[in-house]
Amino acid sequence: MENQKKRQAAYMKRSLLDQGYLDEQFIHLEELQDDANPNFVEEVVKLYYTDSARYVRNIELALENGPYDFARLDNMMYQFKGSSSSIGARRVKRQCSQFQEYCNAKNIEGCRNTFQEVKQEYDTLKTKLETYFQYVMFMASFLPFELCRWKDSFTDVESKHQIRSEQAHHHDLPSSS
Amino acid sequence: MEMAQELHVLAVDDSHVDRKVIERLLEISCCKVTAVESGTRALQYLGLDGEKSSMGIDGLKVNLILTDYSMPGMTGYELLKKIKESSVLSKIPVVIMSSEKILPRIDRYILF
Repeated sequence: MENQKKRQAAYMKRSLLDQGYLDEQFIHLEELQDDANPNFVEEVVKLYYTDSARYVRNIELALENGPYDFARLDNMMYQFKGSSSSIGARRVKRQCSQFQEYCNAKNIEGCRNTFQEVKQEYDTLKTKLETYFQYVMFMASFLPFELCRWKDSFTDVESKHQIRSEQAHHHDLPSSS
Repeated sequence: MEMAQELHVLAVDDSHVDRKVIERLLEISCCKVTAVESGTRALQYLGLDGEKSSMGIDGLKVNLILTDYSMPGMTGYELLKKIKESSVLSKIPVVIMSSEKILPRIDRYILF
């Protein structure tokens, strides 16, 4: 059961990479995790979303009424793009670049439309990563092997015998990494 | 046998996310890290206005300065200039991080 959860989490991650939501920066961040820092990536992602909320807000405000300061808009987006890049948020980053191109062209409608895309990708990624981290956390904090045993003992007499003999040969639980 | 002392790196970056990543990276490389959010803070930490030493205000000698280039207020380049102009601090190596490959800018740094 533990292996199944591991496979599901790995599959989810592969899927996020293949669909371009994430790039290899996310993998690099995962490589920085160890037993002492098992939730590093989740912490970084949480920090990204809390920290970047103000950029999103400020850009939104700046897009509302003229006169439009395109240099300022570009600068704010540059910083937001930097953070997005640091967590491997590929689609978000791509929309940010598009936004910056419209800033250079001084095209306010282009900026506004693209910003909607930025926010869309930003929100979508948040939901997907929340799900992914739930999988990862579930595996790390819960003991699926024990759950499997417990469930089986109610339904299957044979398993009960199996459990008894396994308990006689008690082995260590696999690590969460 | 004497253990080599841990290197102390002063990391300067306005992005909270990037500071967290840099801290972790340097930790893994067995460095002591002090992360600050701006060039101004970095200079305060280095005591450039006050005591003339390469000690941080908490007394820990800084062996390397790692700074982002593009920051609001003082850029990484301006920070580099200030450090190199200081007789006390100019010996500390400074590494500038940037995602931009602007050659004239890179040439400017090498002049230091």
